[in-house]
Amino acid sequence: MATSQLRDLQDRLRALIADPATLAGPLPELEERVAGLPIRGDARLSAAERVRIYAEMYAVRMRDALAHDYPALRVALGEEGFDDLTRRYVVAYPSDRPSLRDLGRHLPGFLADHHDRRPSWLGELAQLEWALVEAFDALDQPLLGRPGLAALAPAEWPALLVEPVRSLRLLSCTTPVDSVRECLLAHQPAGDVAAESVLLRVWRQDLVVYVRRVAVPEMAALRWLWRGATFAELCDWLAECAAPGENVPATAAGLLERWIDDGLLVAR
Amino acid sequence: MARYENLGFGIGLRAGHFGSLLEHGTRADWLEAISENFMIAGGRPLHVLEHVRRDKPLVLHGVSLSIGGTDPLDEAYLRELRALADRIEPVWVSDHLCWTGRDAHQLHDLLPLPWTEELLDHLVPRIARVQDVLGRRLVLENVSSYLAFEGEMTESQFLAELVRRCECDLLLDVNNVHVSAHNQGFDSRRYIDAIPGEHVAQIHLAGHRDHGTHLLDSHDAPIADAVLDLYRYAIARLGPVSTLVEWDGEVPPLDVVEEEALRARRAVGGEQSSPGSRRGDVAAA
Repeated sequence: MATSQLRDLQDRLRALIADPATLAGPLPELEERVAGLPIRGDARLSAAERVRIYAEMYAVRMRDALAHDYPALRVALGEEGFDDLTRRYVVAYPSDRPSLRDLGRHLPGFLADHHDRRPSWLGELAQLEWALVEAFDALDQPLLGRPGLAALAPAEWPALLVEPVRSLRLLSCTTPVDSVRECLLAHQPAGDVAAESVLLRVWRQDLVVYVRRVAVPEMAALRWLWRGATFAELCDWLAECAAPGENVPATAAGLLERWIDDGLLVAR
Repeated sequence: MARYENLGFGIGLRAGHFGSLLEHGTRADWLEAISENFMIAGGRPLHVLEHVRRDKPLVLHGVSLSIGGTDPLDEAYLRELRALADRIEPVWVSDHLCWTGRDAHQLHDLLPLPWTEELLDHLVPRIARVQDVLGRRLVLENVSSYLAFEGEMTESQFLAELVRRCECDLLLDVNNVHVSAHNQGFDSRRYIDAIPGEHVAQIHLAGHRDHGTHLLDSHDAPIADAVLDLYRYAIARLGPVSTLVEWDGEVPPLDVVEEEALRARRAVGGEQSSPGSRRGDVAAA
């Protein structure tokens, strides 16, 4: 079999395995599509039935990979709803990378585009769950700690580089999706989810991923700080946003202490 | 003389066992890590991998090489794999004789190939390129199959010719031989007989499920007695070979998987299968 023939064979098999109709459609129809492929069948299983085994394994594998990354979403949608969503998602966004780790990266956007009258908090739940996945696999980095800060002379503070860890993700939500996720993972119903502005930071400290609510000023500071800045630049920016009479250096120092204790800053 | 040292009886490195491994270590002689699970920027998996590597020999086992695919080899993937191998220093690096996707669409399955001369010609330069990038011989595993193509030779004949032409080696998955033999209707012992023993680096054992019309290579159950029988047959023919118990689905606690590795050791007589014994040593005894 020449390479072009091998390529054609793999093209046809790939299409059959990834097509939901291979599982959902009638067997005679599949047998017509498989005819002409050099696949041996026997009394136990025809060539088409053998192709179906691979198609079923493919569907299960894709669903299980997405279920691993979106456990709360799966509970929220129920098994049938989650299966339906993942089946349609994988057709729209087939895996294109060696690792299944990246399969679900488009799911939050897909859910938003195909909401089918689903509540909006489902999309925010998917965003939160994907942020947790990304934080889990983020680059290990040395962290700025209190000893490092204590070793600084006062004159060194303005030039101190303040940079968030790569695992940090910031989410602006319109629902208390962090609490909803906890309920769903505890197999409790989400109930009526009221609108509520919730700002979340997701990050990994050591080997654990955290989710925490933050206030508007901290969220704004973290968004501004995304690519790093010096402590002096941070103070300047806070001064521009400060309320009348606010002690800007104290505010900056307070944020810095909280971020250091949470393992949010990189040591340089 | 066998090219590979007998590492003894090993188990797969699985995320559900990370805590136990960090706290208590393992009774297994060695471990096998799925390469793709550790080709990441950082985090807990790499921390655990480096921790276990300090105490035990380790091999890397990939699932995405698609050596039999007709897309160009993924050079970025090969470079990442080489970087991981340089970091971990595995005893060997393995993957599967199969294809996993086409036209950039990954199916994440180990898909079957037609056993033909043309496939051999297709594989020779690809295996050479992989071995060149990795700087070491590649070890390739026979996959379980649910369909077979009209071909020019049997699968085991193909494997024997492949290792001769490509100077690569084999990971003989005895459970896959049993499953494929049942599903395709060939003789599993004749398959083993055709395998060139000096090229076998490792053996896999695993559980499977009976679906009536076919066996499914599920890796979610204890090793079947029939597979242990075939394993005994293989060891009698090949001598001691590094043996790994795979358990990837519904993974039980670490001690259960370790017990399964001990079960495999008892199946072939523990003293003959201790780490470090070479096939030459056993033959002389």
